[in-house]
Amino acid sequence: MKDDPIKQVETDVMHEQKHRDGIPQIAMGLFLMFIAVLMQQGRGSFLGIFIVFIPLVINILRKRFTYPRVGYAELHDKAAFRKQGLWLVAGLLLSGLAVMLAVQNHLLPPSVQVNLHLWALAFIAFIVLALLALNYMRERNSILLFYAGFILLFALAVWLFKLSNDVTHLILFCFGLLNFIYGSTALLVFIRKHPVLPDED
Amino acid sequence: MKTKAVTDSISLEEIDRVIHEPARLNIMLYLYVVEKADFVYLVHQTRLTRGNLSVHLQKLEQNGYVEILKEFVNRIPHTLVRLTRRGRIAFEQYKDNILSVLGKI
Repeated sequence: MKDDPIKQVETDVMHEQKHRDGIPQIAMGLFLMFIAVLMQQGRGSFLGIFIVFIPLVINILRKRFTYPRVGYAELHDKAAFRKQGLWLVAGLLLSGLAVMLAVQNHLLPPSVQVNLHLWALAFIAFIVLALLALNYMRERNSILLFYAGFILLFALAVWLFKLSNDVTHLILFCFGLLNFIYGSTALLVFIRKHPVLPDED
Repeated sequence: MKTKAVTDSISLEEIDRVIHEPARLNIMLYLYVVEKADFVYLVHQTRLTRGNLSVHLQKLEQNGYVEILKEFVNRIPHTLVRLTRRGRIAFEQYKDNILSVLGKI
């Protein structure tokens, strides 16, 4: 048998529930712009905390815009649990990194400090790439590959060309802005295409 | 004759008629791939009218294939539907049977 049609429906449902409305792109865009501004202000060590708020923002926006239009479907427990686990691990790793940066910036004398900035970026890139790869394996959504490609190129550019902090943060901010614009456009199209269905009797 | 051979080897009686109806098959398929879904989701996916969907869900519920959970969210009724264990097994059985029949034609 070529393709399992049930598996295909499962993939379609996952795609429809997660990406069609553009809300993940909006949340990701807001997050990237936010951390770019924080890092520019020298408060990058706080960014680890904010990644855990992405699912929260997505959920709030979905309750407002998506579910009244196309309904709500809960994916199987196992998948949801695994996904929550991934976010938790990512949040913990980034929080660990935040603590390291905070310790270095505030407690260690400058003579002992090493350039953790590049390592921090590489570490973040690795975590985000791992999350994207795992999600792509499950969802087969090409936008995830686009994200992964950007992050890989971005991390390589920072390492190879020794981009200054200002340029790095500007690129991050612009990518966030692009995501936000793309997501907002997708959401507007989605809202126009799917009117709110009347409440149940 | 080929048709005769098919009916000889596989009893078409084994095809579950409750699931075999196209609208119900569609509902079962969408419920099979998720843990649970609300009424709006099923209306949207199956393109059935609310009345039609209700009738088919009742039929599936009577056969123990789905469980219908009613709740109120901000004083608005909200219906969640999930496939029961029996429904899941019946759907898998239906899939195997129908593939078996079609495979021998």
